[in-house]
Amino acid sequence: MKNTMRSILVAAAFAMLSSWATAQQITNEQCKEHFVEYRNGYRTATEALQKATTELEKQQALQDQGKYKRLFAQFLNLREQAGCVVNLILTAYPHEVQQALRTQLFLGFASTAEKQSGSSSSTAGSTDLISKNFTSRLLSVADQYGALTSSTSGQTTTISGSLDQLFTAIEGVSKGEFTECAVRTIPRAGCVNSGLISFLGRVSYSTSLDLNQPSTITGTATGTAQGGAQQVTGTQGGNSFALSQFTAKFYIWAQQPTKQDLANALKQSSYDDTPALTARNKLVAIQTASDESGAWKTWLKNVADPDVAGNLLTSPDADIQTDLAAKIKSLIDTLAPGSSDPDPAKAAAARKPLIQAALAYSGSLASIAKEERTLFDSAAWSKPILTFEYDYNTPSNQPTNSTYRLVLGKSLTNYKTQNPPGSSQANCSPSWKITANAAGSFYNSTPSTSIPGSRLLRDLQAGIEADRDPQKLGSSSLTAALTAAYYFQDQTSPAILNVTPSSPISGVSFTGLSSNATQVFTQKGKIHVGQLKITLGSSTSGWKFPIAITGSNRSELITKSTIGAQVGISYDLDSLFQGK
Amino acid sequence: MCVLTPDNSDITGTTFRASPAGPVTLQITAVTGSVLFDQTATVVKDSTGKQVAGTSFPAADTYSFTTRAGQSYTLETGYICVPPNSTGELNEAGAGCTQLSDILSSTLAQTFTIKA
Repeated sequence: MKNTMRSILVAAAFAMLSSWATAQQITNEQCKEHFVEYRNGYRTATEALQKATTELEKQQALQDQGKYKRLFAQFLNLREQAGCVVNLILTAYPHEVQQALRTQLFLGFASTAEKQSGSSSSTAGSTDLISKNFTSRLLSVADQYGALTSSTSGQTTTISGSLDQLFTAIEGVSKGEFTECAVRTIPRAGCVNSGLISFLGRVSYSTSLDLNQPSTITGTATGTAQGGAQQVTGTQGGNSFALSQFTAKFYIWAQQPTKQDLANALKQSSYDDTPALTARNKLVAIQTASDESGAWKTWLKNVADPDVAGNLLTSPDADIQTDLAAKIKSLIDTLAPGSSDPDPAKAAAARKPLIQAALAYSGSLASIAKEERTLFDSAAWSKPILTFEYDYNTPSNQPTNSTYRLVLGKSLTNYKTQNPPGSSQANCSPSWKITANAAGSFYNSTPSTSIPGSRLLRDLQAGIEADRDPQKLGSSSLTAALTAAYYFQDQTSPAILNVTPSSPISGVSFTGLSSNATQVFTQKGKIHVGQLKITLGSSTSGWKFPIAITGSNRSELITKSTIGAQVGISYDLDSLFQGK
Repeated sequence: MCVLTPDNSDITGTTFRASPAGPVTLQITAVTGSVLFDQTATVVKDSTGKQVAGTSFPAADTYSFTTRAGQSYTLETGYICVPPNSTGELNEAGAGCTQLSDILSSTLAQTFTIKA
């Protein structure tokens, strides 16, 4: 038994030391699928050639053979399918890859700086009149909702985000160790299915906390009174904050972007392929250098030419993993001479530049995938989008209520007009976006029958907002975005306040209130509100400062016209993952 | 009309002959999602490494250039997959024309040789 255990331990230690996989897996699903397809396709074409009875059938079979042979050779070429070759290289030496990744990942997080995002909608103290469509798919327009946004407006602090954004944010800095499965090239790297990310991108949330809770100080007399003076010990009472609103949004309909929408979004995006192409070119340079002596092409012929014994295109399925492992080891020996040095340290040093270049490419793929998803989101926003929103409201000293809202958003930019076919440069003049709301708000419990005109339906709401994209002010990094909004509310039930005569509501005083009154209500009516807002921000960091002027014919509690100003501040934590 | 045929003498499978010389149009056929040319990364260069003039992108997934008899060209392509799990094929435009390559999410860029 002891001997068996020792053998197992020795074998395990040897495996770790040699650090080379003897049976090779292709861990990228797309690459694996195509590897199998090429082999099966070639096999089928060969069988068809043997069975061919006419010249036409023979020609077709030969053509198919040539196609699969060609695609198979490309599969093993860093110039053509860099991702698949990188996947094979990194799978060969998992221990060295893990070591390199630990260092890279740490450096990745250390080098990222801060970024930003904004506030919430429809909460007390908010500067926003209209709720926006927001999901991660629309991140570029929903600037008030980042992956994890903390915003303070007046006395309300809101934390909001969409369920997929944490993933995509991490993807951008993970150096390929955590990415969408489609671009996973590092073996054992964490990955999430693209379809799941798309689904999660439909769901957003926000939670608002009311920080303006009344606090009380209770004084207890200590010692004896001295004349008209008395020493007391004070204790603080009350809550420092309370839940003001919880919101969940689910985008229920969006027209799929066309190829032209995607192309337009690409022209307007900050899509930057340079780092990824640089990483790819570094790998290609290694292959080119190796081929100066013809070594790489000789290796490829041995592996991809069906006429050469031991090739991978026609080798039996039963042996393919072992054969592939041996051929990839020989590829690494070809690309990085010295990789088979008997001294493990020297061998690892010889392989290091190749493995580092492969990891750089993997990391760039993760970043590219994040950019591509953002591009897709931008294209989606060019089409109307319909979102359903549920708000659970717990306003201070008022009965709780639920709001069910539909949000429709549409960009007004006519890209085709701005950029007619043939124009060499994309015209990025500011665009406008329109957002419209329709909502019904219901009390969560039936109001007291002693309140005349009260009913479960609290109010009906409608609103529309036009937003102009942020524009740079002069040569500084300061940006300004303009917003104009109109909001209408039909109070179908009077606004109700819960009161305790012995404990007055902060900021509200009553005259002549009955000592046994527990609820007060006001005259219901129709509310019209207009707002102009400017949001100052920075193109290089995540801070935003909305400043709004709002005028209304009345408010829920006061039946006279009012005009006021609101200010806010917001910061998007997503910036922490953006490297800005 | 198809003008490209694979050069089977090249083991890498990346060389194609253009006959007759003249206009060549390549098109991406999406298999899943959408694949577009990265227009900043897609170029044709002549044997001196100079970018060939008059190339164009008639659509986001189409690239056209003209070859001259006796010349050899390097075609460098870059791709954008939206959403990121999209895949496609790079073909010469036209029914039954040659497939140059497959495009996977991890492909990013490719290089071909076109001999006219």
